[in-house]
Amino acid sequence: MTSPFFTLHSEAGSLLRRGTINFAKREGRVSSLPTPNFLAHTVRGSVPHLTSDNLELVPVDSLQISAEHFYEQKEPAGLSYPHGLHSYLNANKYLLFLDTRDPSKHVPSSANTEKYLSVNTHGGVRQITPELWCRMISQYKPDFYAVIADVLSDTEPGNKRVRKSVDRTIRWLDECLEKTKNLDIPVFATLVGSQFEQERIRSAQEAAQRKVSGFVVSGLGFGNQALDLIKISLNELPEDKPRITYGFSSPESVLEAVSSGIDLFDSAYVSKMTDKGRALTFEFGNEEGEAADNHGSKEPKSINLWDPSFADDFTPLKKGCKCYSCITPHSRGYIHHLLNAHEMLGLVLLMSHNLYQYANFFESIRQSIDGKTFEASKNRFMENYSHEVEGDGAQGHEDEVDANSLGVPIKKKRTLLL
Amino acid sequence: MKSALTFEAVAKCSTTKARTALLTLPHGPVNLPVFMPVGTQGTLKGMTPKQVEDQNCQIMLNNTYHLGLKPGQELLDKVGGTHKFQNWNRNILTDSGGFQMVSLLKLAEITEQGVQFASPHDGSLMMLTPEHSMSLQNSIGSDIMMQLDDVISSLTTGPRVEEAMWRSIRWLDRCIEAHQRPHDQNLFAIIQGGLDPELRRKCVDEMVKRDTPGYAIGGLSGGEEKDQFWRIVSLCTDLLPKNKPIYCMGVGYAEDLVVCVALGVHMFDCVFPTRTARFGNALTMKGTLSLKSGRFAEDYQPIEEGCSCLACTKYTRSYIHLLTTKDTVGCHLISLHNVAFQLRLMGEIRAAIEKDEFPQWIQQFFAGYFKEKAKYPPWAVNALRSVGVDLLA
Repeated sequence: MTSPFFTLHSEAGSLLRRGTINFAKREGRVSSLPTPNFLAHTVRGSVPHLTSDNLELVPVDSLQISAEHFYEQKEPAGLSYPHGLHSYLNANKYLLFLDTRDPSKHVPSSANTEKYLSVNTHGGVRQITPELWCRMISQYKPDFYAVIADVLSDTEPGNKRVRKSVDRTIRWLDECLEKTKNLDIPVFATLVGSQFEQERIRSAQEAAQRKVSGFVVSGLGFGNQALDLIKISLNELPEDKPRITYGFSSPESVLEAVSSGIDLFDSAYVSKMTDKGRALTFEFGNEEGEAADNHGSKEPKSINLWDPSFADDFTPLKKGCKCYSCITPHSRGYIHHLLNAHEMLGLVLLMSHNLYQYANFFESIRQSIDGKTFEASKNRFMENYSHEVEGDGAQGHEDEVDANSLGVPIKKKRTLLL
Repeated sequence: MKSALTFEAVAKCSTTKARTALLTLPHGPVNLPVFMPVGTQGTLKGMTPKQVEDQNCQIMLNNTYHLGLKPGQELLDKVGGTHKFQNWNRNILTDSGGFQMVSLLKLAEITEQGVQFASPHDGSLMMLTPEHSMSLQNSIGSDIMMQLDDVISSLTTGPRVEEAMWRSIRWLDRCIEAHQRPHDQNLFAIIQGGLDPELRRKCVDEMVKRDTPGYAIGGLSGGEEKDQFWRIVSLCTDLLPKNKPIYCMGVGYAEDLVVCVALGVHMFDCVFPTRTARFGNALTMKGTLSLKSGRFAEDYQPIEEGCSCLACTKYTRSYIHLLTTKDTVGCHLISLHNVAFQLRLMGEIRAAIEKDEFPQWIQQFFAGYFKEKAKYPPWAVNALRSVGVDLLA
C-alpha cells in the first residue's frame, strides 16, 4: 500500500501542524520530509558557496530550485540533458522542489501576459509559457513542483489586474495539470489574489478544487500585512495538503507562520545572513542555552564575523555546534581573517554553519510541537532574543591591516628648518 | 646548518636528469617532484583544508607578505602559527615577503640593510630586513622558509646582477644568524646570478658552503627568453648537491613542469591553476578548456575523462559552464579540478620516472597537450634534447 502524499500527525483543526510528506522511493534519496521544514535556497541549483561534498556535511533533505536561474540563454540549461535535474546538479540525495522565481528576492519583473510568465535573468527577460514549463518539468523531473502563476510584483495592483491574475493562474494550473498528468510528479498550486480578500479566497478555493498535492502562498512584497493576507488564503485550504510559503524565513516569522499552519519555508534568511558575514547562534527550545545570563538584556540571534573584536577569538562559531566548521574547529578569528582578507572560504564556512543551525532550528521546532512545548518555547524565544535587524557586517568595514609587522619603520633624519 | 628534513632518493631516470625522492618535513612526507598550490592568505582559494587534504596535497604555500599584513605577526604569535590558524596539519612553505614588496608596493627600493618600502597602511617608509623576514616566518611556523634575497628583474644586466648575487649571499648569512627555529623549520637559500652562468656558479659555490637544507633557483620567470630560462635551471641542477631538494619558484604551467623535472628540479609553486580557475579555465592533459564559452552549454562530458576530482566525477561541463564566473561554487569546482590536475600530473611524472619510462611519458604528454609537433614550444624541444629526449624524432 502506498502512503498518502501528506500525513498529518497533529489533531484535526489545530493550526499548529506536524506532518510528513511522502515521496516515491528512489535509490539514495530520502523519501519522506518531516514538517515543519525548509527548502534550502539555491542559486543555479547549488546552495551558495557549497560544493556538493560540503553540502553533504549539512543535514539538509530538500532543495528549492528556481527555474529562472536556468533560463539565461535561449534554451534553459540542462534541458537536453537526458538524466534529469538531480543528476545534472549532483543532487541525487535531495528532494528537489522546482518553482519559477527565486524566493530570496522580491524584484519587480516585466509584465506577464496571457501567453507567458516573464522572468528577469542574467541573460535578460525570458518568457516561460505553460508549454515550456511542462517541458522543463518532464525533462528535469523534480520531486515536486509549483505550476507557473501570474504573481504580481507591484505593491498595490488594481482590482481588475488582480482578478485577471487569479483567472490566468487557474487557467495555467489546469493547462499544466493536463499536460503533466502522466508524469506522476506531485503538483503544487500557487495562490494569488494580492491584497484583495475576495480574490485571495477565490484563488484558494479554485485551486483547492483541483487535483493538486499542495499549495504555495507567497508573502513576498506585502510587508507587515503578509501574514494576515496569507491567513486568508490558508483558511480556504484543505487540512490534508502541505503548504509552502515564501518570505517568512527569519526565525521570528518562521515561528509565526508555523503557528498559522505553514509546513514548508524558504531559507533566504540563511543566504542573507551568510552574505552579511554573520553566524547564527540562537537556539530554540533549549532551556539551558537560553537561560544563560539573560539579565534583562536581549541576546542577539547571530554574531557579526566582520567585527574586529573576533580577530583573536579562537573559539568556534558556536559552542557545541556539530557543523563542519565548528568541529574542525575553525575559529571565529580565522573566519574573521578570511572575511577581512576577502577570501571565499569565509563564506563557505559561514554558509555551512548557518545551514546546519537552520536545520537544527527546524528539528527543534518539530520536537517542540511533538512535545507540546512549542508555544512556551516560542514565547521564550521572543522574550530572550533581540528582534532588531541583523546588520550587514561588511558595511562600514575598513580592512584591518597590520602594516607594522611587515618591517621596521625607517626613522627619517630631522633637519631643523630655519 | 641544522636541518629539519630528510631527503631520500627513490628513483632516477636513466635518460634525463629527473629524480624522485621522499622528502620528510616536520608536518609529514612529500613525494618529489611536487607541485605546491598557493594558499596566499592562509587558505587555498575557497577550498576547505579537508578538501585539500582529500586531494592528497602534502604541501602548500602561504605568502609571508600577505600573512604579515593580515592577520599580522602579533596574531600569528598568539594563535601559534599558521598551521593551527588555518587547521592545516600538513606542510607549508613560505616565501620571504620581499618579492611582493617589490612587485606590489610603491617606492620599493633595495639597500644593503633590506627592502625599503612605503607602508601600505599610511605610506610611511619601512624596511624589511633579512632578520625581520626570518622573524615573520618563525611566527608563521612554516616547514620551509625562504631567505630574503635581492630581487632584480631577470632582464637586468650589468653590475647590478653581480651586486644582487653577492648581497643575496650576505643576506643568507644574516638569515641563518637570525633564524630562531632551525630544529623545526628549514631555511632554503635562493640562487641568484641572473642569466650569467659564471655568477650562478659562484653563487652556488658560496651558498652550498652554507649547507642549507634545500635550495631554490631564483631570479627567473621574470620575462626572460625561455631558452635562457631552461639553460640556467639546468646549470643550477648540475651544480647543486644531489642529496637536497631543489625548488624552482613560480613555475606552474604543465609543459614547464615537465621540462623542469627532466632538468632535475623537485619542487614548484604557482598561483596560475587557482587564478585561472576563477576566470573559468579548466586545465586538462589535452590543454585548457575555457568553460565560459557557449560551446559548453550542452556538453555533458566531465571536464576531463578519468580525473577523480569532485568536479569530474559528479558534474558536467555544461553545469559548470552555467555557474562559472557567476557563482563561487563554479569557481570552487574548477579550482578543485585544477589543483587535482596539477597533483595528478606530478603523480604521473613520478610514476613514469619510477618505472624508468619518463622519456616515453614525455613524448605522450606533449603529443596529447599540443596535438601537433609544429605546436611544441621550441625552447621545450631544445631543453629536452639537452637531456636526451628528442621530441621531434
